Amino acid sequence: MKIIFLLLTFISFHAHSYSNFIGHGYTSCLNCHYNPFGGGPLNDYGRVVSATAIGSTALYPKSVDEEKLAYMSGFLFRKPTQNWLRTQINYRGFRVVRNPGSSQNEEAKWINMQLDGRIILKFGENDKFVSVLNYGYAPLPREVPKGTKSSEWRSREHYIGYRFTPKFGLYAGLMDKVFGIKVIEHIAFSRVSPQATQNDQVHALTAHVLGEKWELGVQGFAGNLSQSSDLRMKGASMMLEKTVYDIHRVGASVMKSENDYLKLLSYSTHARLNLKEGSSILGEIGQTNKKTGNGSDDTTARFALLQTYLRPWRGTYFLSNIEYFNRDINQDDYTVRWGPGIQYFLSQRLELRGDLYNTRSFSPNSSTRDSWMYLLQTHIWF
Amino acid sequence: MKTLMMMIILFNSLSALAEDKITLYVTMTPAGSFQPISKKPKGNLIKENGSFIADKISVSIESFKTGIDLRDEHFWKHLSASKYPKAILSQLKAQDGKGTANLEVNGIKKPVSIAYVEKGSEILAKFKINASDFSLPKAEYLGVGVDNIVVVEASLSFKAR
Amino acid sequence: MKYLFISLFLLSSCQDYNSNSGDKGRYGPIELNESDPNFRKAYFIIQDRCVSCHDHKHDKWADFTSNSEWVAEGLVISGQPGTSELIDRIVNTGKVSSDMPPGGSALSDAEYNHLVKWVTEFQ
Repeated sequence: MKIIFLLLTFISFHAHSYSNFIGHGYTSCLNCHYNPFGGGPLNDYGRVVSATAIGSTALYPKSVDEEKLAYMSGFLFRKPTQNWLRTQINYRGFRVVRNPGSSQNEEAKWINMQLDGRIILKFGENDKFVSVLNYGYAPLPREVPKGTKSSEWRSREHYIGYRFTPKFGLYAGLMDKVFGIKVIEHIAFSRVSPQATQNDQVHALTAHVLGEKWELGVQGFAGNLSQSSDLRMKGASMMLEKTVYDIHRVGASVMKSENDYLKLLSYSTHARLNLKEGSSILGEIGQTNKKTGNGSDDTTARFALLQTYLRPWRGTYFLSNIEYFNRDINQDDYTVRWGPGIQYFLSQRLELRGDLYNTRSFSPNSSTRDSWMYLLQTHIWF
Repeated sequence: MKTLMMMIILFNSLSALAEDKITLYVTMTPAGSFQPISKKPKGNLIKENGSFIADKISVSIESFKTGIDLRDEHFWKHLSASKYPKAILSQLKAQDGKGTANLEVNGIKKPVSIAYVEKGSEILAKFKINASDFSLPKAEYLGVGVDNIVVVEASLSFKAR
Repeated sequence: MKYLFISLFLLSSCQDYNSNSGDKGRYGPIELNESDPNFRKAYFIIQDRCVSCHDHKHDKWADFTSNSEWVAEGLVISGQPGTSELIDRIVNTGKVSSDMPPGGSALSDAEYNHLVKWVTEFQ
């Protein structure tokens, strides 16, 4: 075991958090991630879990046992020589096809979604002090008009963290907002509505507290300091999760943020249920109250999400996703997005994923065509 | 497909309720938990005049599964399965929801106090142990450890005499 | 090595595009040059549902603050929503060729009906 501990350095994992891994008994992201709220690089333990619990063994001969798999999760398969530096390279790309089968509107393209490198410095017993830098390429979102001058090379995270005790830590720097379930689908209404998507990182001071059966995050943020000051969303958020009945988690979040033109107040409640053997259910419902500087869009939006992850065998997850979104609760119109997916961790360094999405708008006095989209994703990391 | 998968999982869950089973509730630090589960306890539990007795109920350490293969191996090694392949609950006597027994793990035998509930043709028994009482070293792996206190839950069928 | 890392840390550029990048244009103060009582609401609907993609730099109608500008550009025919290109492109019309906004998030009935009303009652 000690040899594995020494050998397993140089991180190997990827940007997104998988809240569904509560299905493996991991109620807190802190078990596997440097960021206690998930996302960003995995720590040593997380790398081993990914290699020995998540990834399939299909590509390996039977002579490669679990200990060897754990050893192989190191960076570029190299034997580590020290304990204070970890690095990672990570790539994610996908083929997206919108309106498949339509002779008029089908649109297909390959998108290089993410290419980044991470550096982690860590010191002290059980990584008491960490500093994380996660920098790389990320294309501008689709809705950004072509020709818009904005960098596509960016830092997704850079922060320092200190755990005063195993149960309490403080983190300062650029990081994701603490709110709700951090699902990997950044287009999810539950992330878009409160503005907690993949690009909405903020410079923040975040406290993380672990109780015996609960977990609390409190964050104060000054917005993204690289933006002009009038656009920075300043505010605070809080999230509380509690373990109930066995190993299920329920939680609640609240976030208030504003800039010179917009004020948002978001609440949500969520649940993460462990179905054992790696399977889980995630659910969240919430609301965002929006007030605009010019009064153009003072609305209250409501969102809901239900995701299931079923793991029939190691390496494979069957997914389903259902979302609801009402942009203005004073109107009867709403949108439902749903679809199945499959996630296959072919090996510990390779994830293949396919998702199908149907989006349907409902309104009492009109009907519109459904929108279909499928994504085929490849994710490689070293 | 989703319905089929859900039905399979539900069926397995329901099936599990009907089987003899030993579940250990292990709390991890900093957070989380896992449950090594064995569905292969061996021994006879007898109900006589409202009391439950069992001379010996044993379970192979290597029959416990934690859900992750490497964790299984570490769990077995931690309990010295190669040297002490079985955990044994002996001289079990219980009545009116309470009882006592001797538990032998890692070559060490200690008395335990049990609480139980009778459900149909089986009982659901629970008791807590301190891992350190059985000379089990503190377990930690790459910064993630386990609590000293472990809750043991046994679901055992009985025969009435 | 530690100092190099700290320097990299401090100098690393941050993303500057996010959910709020368009807030000034969408929610900032505006002066409208139009007395038509239907225009103000129509303006905000267009800003909210169209201008996030068709922004001010690439589509000049994103900056229109009067009815006459829409007519001059040929995108609206006064009193005729059925033949006005602005209305025609909206997915709520039900036409196969109408696909805006893309991605399945149609305008609400209230939003679409107001745009139709605005063009119908053009002043």
